[in-house]
Amino acid sequence: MSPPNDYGAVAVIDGQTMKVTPLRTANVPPPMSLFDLETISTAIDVAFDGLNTLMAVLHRRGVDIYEWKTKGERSLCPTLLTAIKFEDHVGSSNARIPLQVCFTSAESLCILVHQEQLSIEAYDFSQVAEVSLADVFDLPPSSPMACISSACGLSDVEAYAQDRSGRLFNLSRRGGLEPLGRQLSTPLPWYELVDINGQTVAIGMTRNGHLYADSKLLAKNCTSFVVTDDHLVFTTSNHFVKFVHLLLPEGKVN
Amino acid sequence: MEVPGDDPEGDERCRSIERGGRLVTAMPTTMSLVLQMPRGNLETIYPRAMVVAGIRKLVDEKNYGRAFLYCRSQRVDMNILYDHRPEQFLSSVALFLDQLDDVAHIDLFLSSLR
Repeated sequence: MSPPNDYGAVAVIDGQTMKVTPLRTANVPPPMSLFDLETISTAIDVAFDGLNTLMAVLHRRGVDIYEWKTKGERSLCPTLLTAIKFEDHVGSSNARIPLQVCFTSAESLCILVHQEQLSIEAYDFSQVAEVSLADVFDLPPSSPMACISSACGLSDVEAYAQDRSGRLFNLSRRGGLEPLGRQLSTPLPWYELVDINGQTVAIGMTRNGHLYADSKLLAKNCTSFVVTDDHLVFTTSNHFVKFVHLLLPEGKVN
Repeated sequence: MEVPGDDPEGDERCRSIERGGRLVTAMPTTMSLVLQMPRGNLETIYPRAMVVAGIRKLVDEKNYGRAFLYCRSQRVDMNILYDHRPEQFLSSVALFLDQLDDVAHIDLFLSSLR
C-alpha cells in the first residue's frame, strides 16, 4: 500500500463471485462493486502481491491468477493471466482442503493446504507457459501454521508466515519456511511486517483489540488498523481514528 | 512510537469518527482514508495528518504546483510551501512560478504569506 501502487484495491468474496473495487478509481459502495470476477467453484482466499500488479483467487478447485491493469491513474478490470487446477480427489477419503494463498514473487505463489496434516505448496507461473507445482513443504505437526501472507516492500522477506504460538517465518519459493528468529509476544490474527529505518517491525492486533508493535502494546481498544509508508492508522472503540508516526517502538527518533 | 491521546481538538493525529467505523484502506496518493460504517456504507475522509504528510512529500519532490492545489482545496495554510523547505523554496522560485502558472494563484499565495 505504498505510492504509487496504492490503488485502494479491495476484493470481497461472495460465493463464486469476486467483487473487486479499486477505491482510488471509483468509490463504489457495497454490496455493489466496480468489477465482478467469476470463479468455477467457491472462493476461499484472495491475495495481492506486494506491488499490486497481480491478484490470486484461491478456490476449491484451483487458483486463478489475474493481472491488475491500469491506464494512467485509473484501474481497469483485472484480466485472467493463468489458472492452476488442483487434481480432483472426488470421493477420496483424505479430503484436501486449501486454506490460504500468498505471493512469494511476481512469478511464484504458495498455498497452505491441509490434507491429514498441513503443508505448503509452491507454484511457479510465467505468462507464457503453464503453471507447475514446484515444491511441497511438509510442515511438522508440532508448530501448526496459523497464516501466510505476501510481503510488501521488505527486501529480505519474500513472504511470511506465523504459527499458532506467534513465531514468525520467512516463506520463500526455494527454501520453504525458515524461522526469522522472532517471536511475537502473543499470536496476532491480523498482522503486517513493516520496515522502519532498516529494522523489521511486526505490527498486529489480537482478537480482543490489543494493538502491538513488536512487543510494545500501543492500544487496548483497537478495532481495525492499516499501515502506510508514513503512518500506522487505527480506529478505536471510542470512535477515534489515530495516526502513529512510524518510528522504532523503543522511541528512537528518525 | 507514540500513540496520540484522545484529544481531537488539540492533536491533529487524532480525529473523531462516527461510532463503530472501521478502516477499509488508506490511499496516501490521494491523502484519503476509507472507512466502513456499521450500516455498511463507505465514507472517505481526508485526515489532516495524511494531507499534511502528502503536501510535505510533494514539496520534497519540488512538485509545488500540485502541493499548492492541495493546500487550496484542503484549506491548509500555504506557508507550509516555504516553511517545510526554506532554502529549497528560495532557490527554486522560478520553478514555483512556472508550476503555478496562473496570476490568481500567485496572488492567493502571496496574500497568505505571513
